[in-house]
Amino acid sequence: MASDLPSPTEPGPAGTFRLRTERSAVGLERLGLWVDEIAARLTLGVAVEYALRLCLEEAVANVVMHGVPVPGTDANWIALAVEPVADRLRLTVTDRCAAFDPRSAPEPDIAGSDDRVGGLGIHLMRRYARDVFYAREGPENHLTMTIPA
Amino acid sequence: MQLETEEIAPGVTKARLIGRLDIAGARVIDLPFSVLVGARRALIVDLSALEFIASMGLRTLIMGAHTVKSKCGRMVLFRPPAAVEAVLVSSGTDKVLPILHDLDEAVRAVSG
Repeated sequence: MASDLPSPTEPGPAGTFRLRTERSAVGLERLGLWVDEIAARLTLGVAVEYALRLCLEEAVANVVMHGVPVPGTDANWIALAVEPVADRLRLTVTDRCAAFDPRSAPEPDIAGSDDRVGGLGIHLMRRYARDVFYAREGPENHLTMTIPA
Repeated sequence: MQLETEEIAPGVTKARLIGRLDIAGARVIDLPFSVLVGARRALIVDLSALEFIASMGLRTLIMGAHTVKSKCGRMVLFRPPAAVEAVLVSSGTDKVLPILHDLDEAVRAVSG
């Protein structure tokens, strides 16, 4: 089944970086290389590059590891966009798994005796990003956030 | 991602993590790190060459701390770069794993 998500080469607004990547470990590796390219092209400072890599990796990893495919919908892809806006970077992560609002996730309890450690990624994303918004539009989850640049 | 170990004092092991401890990095070192924490009672995890850490890397460290603690051992983090230390603090990892910047102090901390 063909995906309706944008292709890697689909033109966007001037200066916007776009990537459509697999919802898999391969997709995560591709994401890392893409962030390298963005950081070089925008000559990002160390702290901004770190925040960009962290927020995108946590958002995508959450979809890769916990996203629940919906029968009849191609959920094998994740679409990403990074747009420089004034003194910020606006990040958008789009997937077609079942609806999930990361803002609703509970805070992690890493000091507990339970060996399971969960929720750290979303917690970090909320700490490093500003203006985190989520919307469900048709079959798609749209997560947007900004990072001070 | 690389993991190097050396005995720096009797019974004290320093494990040096080199590279990016993202999901791919965590996948590479999870097994050797699990073996290490299962076998050592006094462990200093040297983060000075760690370029990046994300939640899966934190999970590796936290699970390691739980393992060492369950065997009545001690584990500390040593000299993380500022950006990595910020993540350790933001996540609360420093509450379960002390962060130290002086090697002698780290050796004393794990030696008990």
